[in-house]
Amino acid sequence: MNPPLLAVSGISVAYKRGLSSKYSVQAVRGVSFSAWRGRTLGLIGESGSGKSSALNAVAGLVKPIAGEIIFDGKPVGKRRPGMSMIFQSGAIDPKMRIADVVAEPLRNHKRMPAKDERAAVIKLLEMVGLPSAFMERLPWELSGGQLQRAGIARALALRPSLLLADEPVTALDPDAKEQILDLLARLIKEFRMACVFVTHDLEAARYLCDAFCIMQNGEIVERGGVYRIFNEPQQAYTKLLLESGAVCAG
Amino acid sequence: MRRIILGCAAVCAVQLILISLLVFILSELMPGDALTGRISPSITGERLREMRGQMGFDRPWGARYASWLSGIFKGDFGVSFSHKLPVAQLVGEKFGNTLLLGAFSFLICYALSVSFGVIAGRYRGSWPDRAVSSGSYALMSIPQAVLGILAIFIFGYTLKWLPPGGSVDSGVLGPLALIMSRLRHLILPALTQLVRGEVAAGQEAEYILSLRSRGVAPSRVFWAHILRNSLIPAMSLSGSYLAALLGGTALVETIFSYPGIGKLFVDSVLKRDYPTANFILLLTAFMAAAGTLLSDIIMNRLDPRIKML
Repeated sequence: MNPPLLAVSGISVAYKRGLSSKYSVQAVRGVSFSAWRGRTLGLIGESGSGKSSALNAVAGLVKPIAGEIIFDGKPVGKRRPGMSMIFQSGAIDPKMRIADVVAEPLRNHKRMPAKDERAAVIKLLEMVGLPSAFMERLPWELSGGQLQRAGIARALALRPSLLLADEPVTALDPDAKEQILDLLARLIKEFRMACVFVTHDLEAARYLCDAFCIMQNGEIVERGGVYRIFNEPQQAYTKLLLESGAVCAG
Repeated sequence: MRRIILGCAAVCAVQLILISLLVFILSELMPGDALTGRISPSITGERLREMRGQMGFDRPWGARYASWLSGIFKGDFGVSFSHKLPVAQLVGEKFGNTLLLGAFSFLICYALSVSFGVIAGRYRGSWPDRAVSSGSYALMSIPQAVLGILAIFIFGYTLKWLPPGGSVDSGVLGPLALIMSRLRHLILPALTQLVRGEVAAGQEAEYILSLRSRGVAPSRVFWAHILRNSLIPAMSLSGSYLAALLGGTALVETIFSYPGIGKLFVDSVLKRDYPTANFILLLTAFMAAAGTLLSDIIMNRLDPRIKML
């Protein structure tokens, strides 16, 4: 088997509370997982289980207090241009036009001369199914699904090899959710990206993921392929999660 | 932009006419008139009626309001009963002082509140946040009259750092009045809390996490995104705050014997000099309307979502 693109081993994430200099909230405890190109790993769990904190640690948004993150064979640095992250709402500055939103990573990483930027933005918008007429629009003029598409276009701008997705379909209506899941599945295959998909939506996770890590209280309590987890869950928590998710094993 | 300004200006004009009616009715409802308490008790009823007739008090209030309003449109705001001077001239002499006081207070308020708010919001939960929040809540809680008297006692009489009140010359401000003016206003603590809340919430916003995840420099994230978006609500209130500063000076000017329109208003009401009092009220309402218009223009410049409307 090829080595994983992302190898997370034993990371712990904790937060300080108030003026205290001590870590008093332990969100993630010694978690390990790996992600391979062209495949999607789901971090599944209820709110507060630590899945988003683990993802934020990979993205560099929080510093783990222990453990190691290896990306593309090397420990991760401060800048991580090979990774892109998408969020629940599209995560777009409300005062920026869509063209500027999508071009922002290109400018930030000085990837191309300014004269080529417009064409690159049009191409990225096309990739996610948005017409170029949307370039001049402001975020409030787009629907939730369109905003998420714009967020995905921006995430693709630097041609990442790892896509980190934090509940990207949670806030969408069923139609938009299905379309975004289709889009993500297509892009992951097309660009051979590895994807870590954080969600508590089991239906979405089953649609997109190849493997799951089930998280509870900051720890991974069970891991396995989609079929195995849905049909032969080993842990009581996983069984409870599947029942509460009202997902039929298939 | 032009359409927005014209629309707001039309609304302001209607508001001012309604306010003028309200102001006039209020002065009519108040007991007594300019002659009450200022004439000899031995004066005959006939002479009193004659004097009231000379001042136009014998006409129905509707007719007097109509002539007052038409005078305003012609630039004639009436004559002060107590000073025997045209109201416009009398108020004009004091307005500059109040304007200078208000503008200076406004600038200090914004500079301090934005700085305090940004520090508290950026370091939320840390000791600077707690110090700023406690200070602003304390300022909100202490009545301005108490704060004014305390300041006079501490800085004016005990420490003798500053003159305790008044102004040096017309138009030159007493430093203590300035300091108190900016301290006393609830604008400072209220604005500080507003900016703090916006900056703190901005740091948690998904689009900020998104920028950070792409390695955008923290200083750029803060100045170009968090701060700019956080200041939009504060800036949008600037017009209203400016109006409040200009209109709400009666107490501070009275405490500090400062020769502005706030003190003139209080004196005019006490002397039942209603033409002067009514004009100051109307001027204050005009400043509030102009301030609101200014807020709309600022919002239009800062927030592209509004520019598109």
